Amino acid sequence: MDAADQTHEGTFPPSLCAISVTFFLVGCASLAGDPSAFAERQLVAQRKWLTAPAFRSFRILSRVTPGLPPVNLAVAIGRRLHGVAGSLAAVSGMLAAPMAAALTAGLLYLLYGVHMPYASTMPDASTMFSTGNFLSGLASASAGLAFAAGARGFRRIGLTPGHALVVLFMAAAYAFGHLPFVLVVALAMPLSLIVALVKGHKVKPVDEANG
Amino acid sequence: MDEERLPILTIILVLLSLVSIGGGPKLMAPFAHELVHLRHWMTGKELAGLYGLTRAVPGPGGLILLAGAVGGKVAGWMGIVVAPLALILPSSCLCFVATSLWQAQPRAQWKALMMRTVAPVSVGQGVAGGIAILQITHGGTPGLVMAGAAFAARLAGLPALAVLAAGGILFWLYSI
Repeated sequence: MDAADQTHEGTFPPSLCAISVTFFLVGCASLAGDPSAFAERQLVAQRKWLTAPAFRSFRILSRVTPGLPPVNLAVAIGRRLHGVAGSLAAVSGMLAAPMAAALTAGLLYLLYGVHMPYASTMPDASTMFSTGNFLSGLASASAGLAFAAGARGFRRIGLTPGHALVVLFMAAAYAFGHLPFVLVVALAMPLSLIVALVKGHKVKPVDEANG
Repeated sequence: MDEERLPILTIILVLLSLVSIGGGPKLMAPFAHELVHLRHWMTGKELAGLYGLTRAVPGPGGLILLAGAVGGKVAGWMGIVVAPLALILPSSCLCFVATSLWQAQPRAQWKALMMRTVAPVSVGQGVAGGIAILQITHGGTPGLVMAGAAFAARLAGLPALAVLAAGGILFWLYSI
């Protein structure tokens, strides 16, 4: 634990190469789902670059700032470990494996799927019929997955009438009011802030929160 | 290919990068609105199909793929390169700046407040995304039933990939 506390205070800034390699492993883990548990094991238990509360604080930061949580985690922890260069090393390490996966999937799609980059090129009617239905099934299922992710989010933050109101407002404003998304978010944020302020006091301190 | 598309797409993605909290489905509501309904750059079915496919790669990879695929569809090869960058760079820069503020006050009260404010909005973005997917898929009753089944299966703990594959195959069989 002593070593962890020392590194926590920045006595041993790790090398850029070590940061990049570690976040490369986190990026690989991200291909199987949320990599934050894996990242915590790597950074806290194995490398001892951060204390557990410091890691959790960064994890919360990665989830309340816009963008993808794993990428934000790399940005923030990379900066903490080695400044701007550390941030760049962490993000490039983090994104290498997902980028490779995206390129591979994209190439397979170009080779065997719909003719993506050419808007005017339509596949012929017979293949259109079957792949079209396959894709509709995928899409419908992915809508279900999006709702499930929402339900899990609720489970994590606790479902209160105020939270439900925020979510219902956003869903209705977008789906039925056809308001631009940025405007919906801009309206929902103050609403959510009011809900949070009203419900204020019985809240765990950030460091203990199981974000 | 319309040459003005790439700058417009880039502006849209930069804005989304700065307001979208979390991963894939959170982008679907604005994508459907901007790309399908407003500008008619792609059909709803195309966007929904692309999204379903990109779900095969979880995490940041899926998002890069979604952005690249949409960029390619809308603005050609340049779009494939520019779109993922436009989506990832702005939010990363913002997070970089936020890190120093975050570190400066280790146990500040506003952090807990910020968490409780942002979390429901993030959930709302995802739910709006799910509704947007259903709207642009035009799946009718089978689509709704499939979404409901996928919702239940995922909450019961089935892997996302298995749920997706089952959805695609069932619809394909249904169409024969």
